Amino acid sequence: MALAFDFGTCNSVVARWNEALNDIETPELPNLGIRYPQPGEADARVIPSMIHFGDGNAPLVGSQVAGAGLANHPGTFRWLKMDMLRTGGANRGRRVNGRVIYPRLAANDLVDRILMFVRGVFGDIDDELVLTVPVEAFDHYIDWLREAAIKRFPGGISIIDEATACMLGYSDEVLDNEPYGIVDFGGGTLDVSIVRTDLRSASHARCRILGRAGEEIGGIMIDNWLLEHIQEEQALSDEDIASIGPSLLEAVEAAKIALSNGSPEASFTRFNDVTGRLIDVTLSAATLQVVLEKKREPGMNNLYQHIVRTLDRALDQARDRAGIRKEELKGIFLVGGSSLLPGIEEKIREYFPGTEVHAGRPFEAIARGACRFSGGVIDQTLTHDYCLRSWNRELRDFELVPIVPRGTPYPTGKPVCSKYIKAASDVQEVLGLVIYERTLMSRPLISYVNGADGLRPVKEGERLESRHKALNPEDSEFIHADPPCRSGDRRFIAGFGVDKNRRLTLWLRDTEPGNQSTIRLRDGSTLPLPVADLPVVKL
Amino acid sequence: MWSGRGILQRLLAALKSDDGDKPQTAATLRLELAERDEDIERLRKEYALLREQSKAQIERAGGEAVESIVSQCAAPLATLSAMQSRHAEKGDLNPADLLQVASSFRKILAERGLEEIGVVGETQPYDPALHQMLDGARPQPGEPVLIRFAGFRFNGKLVAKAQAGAVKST
Repeated sequence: MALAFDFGTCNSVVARWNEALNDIETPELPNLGIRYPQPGEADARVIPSMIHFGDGNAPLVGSQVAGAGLANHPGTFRWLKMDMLRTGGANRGRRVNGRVIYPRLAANDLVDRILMFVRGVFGDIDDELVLTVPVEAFDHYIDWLREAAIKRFPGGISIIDEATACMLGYSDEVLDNEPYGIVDFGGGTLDVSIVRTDLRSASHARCRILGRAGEEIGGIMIDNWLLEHIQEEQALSDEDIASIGPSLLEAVEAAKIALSNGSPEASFTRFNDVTGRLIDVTLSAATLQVVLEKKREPGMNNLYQHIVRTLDRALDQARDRAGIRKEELKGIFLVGGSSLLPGIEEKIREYFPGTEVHAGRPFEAIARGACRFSGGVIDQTLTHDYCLRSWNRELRDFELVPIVPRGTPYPTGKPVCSKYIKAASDVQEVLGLVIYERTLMSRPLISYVNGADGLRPVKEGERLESRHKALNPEDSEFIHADPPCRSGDRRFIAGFGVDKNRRLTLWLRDTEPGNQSTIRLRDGSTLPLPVADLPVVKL
Repeated sequence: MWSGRGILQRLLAALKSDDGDKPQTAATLRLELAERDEDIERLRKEYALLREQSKAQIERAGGEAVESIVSQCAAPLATLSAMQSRHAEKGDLNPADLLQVASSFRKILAERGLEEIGVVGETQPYDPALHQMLDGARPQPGEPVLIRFAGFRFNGKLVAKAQAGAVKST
């Protein structure tokens, strides 16, 4: 399996298959990542999606930024994913140390630095990468992310949508062409998507959105509600809040996380040096529940009612567009740190009484699912072209001719392509078959035009780039012609397929009956022709 | 990954059988063996990485534990210094507030496994393993003694004995 990288708005996650442990892991990335507690699970390991450009040559990334106290510095870029999704990152350039930095450059550097680190640690073992993108991400976002990542992972990049990855991260029984629901409740937003899986799709999106609804409520707003509650309960003046508000908010967030992870209570003290008052706060799970249940303007809804209304709206849309009713959903998946708040999972279970609700890994599910996707849990199709080198008379040059193209499902059972093998010279006894793996990448040609909202990216076209490597350079000359060939003779006919273990298989026969041609194996033993379904090389 | 298809059994079966597919089966098995070699090589690298990571993790663990205590202590320490400064300037410090802040340190350490032995002012049966007499009294084990300073155990291990004195007769 490959490495997986989930580039998130607040946090990013790396997951990989650890062969020694026979399990997916989100590896510890010291000096880059932080941990988030999760109830009943090991801590989640995430990389804060932030980058700081300072005086030094190298920018600070991930946890290095907050570790240096620079999270809110003007030279720090956060929420870059939103910039890239909305405008391609050409908006709001900032002057930092005398140069203007656009979010696109910051996002590029952030992804590149994280992947450089990951490659440095695991590059010896993993050389392919799976990226996740929102289901409805525009091409410019997908192109940008692929481009930013390919520098560190030239061995191959594949892409899967975040919704399908999330489902695979929780469950190994995601069915094709069925409706599912995803509730993403993060720091700033609540998003509900009703999707229908399309696991056999050839594109990155293995599902389609049937209904979607969102609200701008999230962890940050809940911290403020808790602070309001404390202000009322302790009769704090507005001056108290004004003079030590940020410090109180920080403590409130830490207490909320502790309560979300099952602590019965969490307490803290803060001193107002202006008034000389000590604020001593103890929050319990019940208090948090009361705060979440309090009805608020606008609309006089409490948090749970907000969630239900958002679910209703997404389901209404799915019903109008595709006739889907909530009872028909095959599973609900919870992501985002705020889904750990007390009562949220229960409320969603109550809302979907007959449907399985998957929760508990809100930070890592997407990256873990992407990692499983790379292990072929959805389908078994080839992600590269496999080619032979052939002389093109018109171009007077060698070219790579696909014998098994990418997207081919395997095992093929029988040959998917056949070719004549010709000798290049007279009295040729040994013929070589070098198999090349070719990665074709379409790279966008983007220019920026000045519009009403500042610069915006315009895709002007695409440029195809290919990379290839020989898979059997030392074991290619295995066809022995007896009697020897004459130049230009269509002496052999070869068929190519792929077996269930993803090995290229060969069907080969001598076109002249009665000949004694063979295949010579590495140990010197020979196989008389014809051969069928002979594995040649691991793809 | 290992698929456990029994290469050896299939090799033996191929050698025993008389069918014409023998060389091809052997070729397939040879390829499988080569794949196994690659698997083993990858596992070796994985193991080396794992060993390196656990070593680094052990080295970091001590530092991380201290760091987590320090970061929890930061807020009460900041409060203490603000109180100190205000007290120097205005002299209106409330001792109850000070004790409240001081108790945060106790709470932080208690979360990590610090247990107190005895409560000040309480009498306990004398246990030489847990109590140290302050006033020269030599009680017999089990005889009541008065706790004057609490003792501490950290994750089950005795860190400091409780300091006690003889119970004064009224």
